[in-house]
Amino acid sequence: MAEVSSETRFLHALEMGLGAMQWGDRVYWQFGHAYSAEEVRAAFQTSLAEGIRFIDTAELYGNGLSERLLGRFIKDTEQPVLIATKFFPWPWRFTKNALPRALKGSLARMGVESVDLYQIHWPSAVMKTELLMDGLAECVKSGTLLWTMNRISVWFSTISFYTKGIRCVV
Amino acid sequence: MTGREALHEAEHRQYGAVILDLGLPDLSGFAVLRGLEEFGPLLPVIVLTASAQDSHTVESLRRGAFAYITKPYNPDELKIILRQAVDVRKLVLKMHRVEHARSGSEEQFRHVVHTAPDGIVLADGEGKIASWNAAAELLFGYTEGEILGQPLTIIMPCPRRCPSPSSRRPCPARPGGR
Repeated sequence: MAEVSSETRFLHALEMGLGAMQWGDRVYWQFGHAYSAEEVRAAFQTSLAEGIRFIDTAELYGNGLSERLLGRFIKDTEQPVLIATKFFPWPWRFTKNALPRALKGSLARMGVESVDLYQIHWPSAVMKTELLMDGLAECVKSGTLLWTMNRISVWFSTISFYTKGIRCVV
Repeated sequence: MTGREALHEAEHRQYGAVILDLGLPDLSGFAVLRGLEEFGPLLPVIVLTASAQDSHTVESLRRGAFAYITKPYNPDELKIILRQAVDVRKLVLKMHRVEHARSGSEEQFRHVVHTAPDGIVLADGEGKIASWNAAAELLFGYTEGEILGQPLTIIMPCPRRCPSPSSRRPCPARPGGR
């Protein structure tokens, strides 16, 4: 049987994913009132049973609780899933190291060593795209990030990713 | 409050900002700052330090603090910076929600336009076609790829397209109702 590349595996998984924006969000989505962690877990398990293999979360969601819940659910299943999360470019995050530091926080919350996809959640008011790319490249080199995607400027990102030696762009 | 207690609080309760004294009894201030990346990723941190040395002040900003204040500090100054931190955080979150709602609304608009049974064509200020739905494609015979950027007059009948009778040319016969 021919070996399937990680890129192919990733693109197949991306056909349908599970979004985790409402997980843990008490302010806008009434987590803790309208639904609980157990209901979120049931949604996660049902999704996996139906073939979902890609989960998209963010440090912003539920003040990090979305990532924590995902980390707990992943530990309780033997089914491997691809994980995507996002860097939120607060104005006080303005150095190249801000992005790898934030990713470390996400990894700690999820209890994993790396994520499959790291995205820039929102255009940064203070960080140039080049600086964000440097931070992403550092994460790839350190092995904490396997893929990366900039939702803001795909063309610019594509150029930067290749010049920085990042493996692939979605 | 100790550093560990602060991290626990940041994780389990909703706050608008953190005032962090670098001289804590249990953990170093920088360790708490690092820990807040995990336990309070949405919180701006104002660092209080007894030292005006660059190693403490500038470094705290490099490590993700919103601002720093050296002791002894003016309480009014601290209040103003605290207000700025809370407001900047609120503003950024609000911008994010507005952008999210706007992109969702745009997506809905695109969906409505593209599934409408009537041909809907939008042009920009220069009269060039900027949007073209599926019904327009059936009606006029041009695909979206062919038509975007073309002058709007391309879909008008020839007598209206040409400025004067002498300059009128017969429209080329095209399949599909063009």
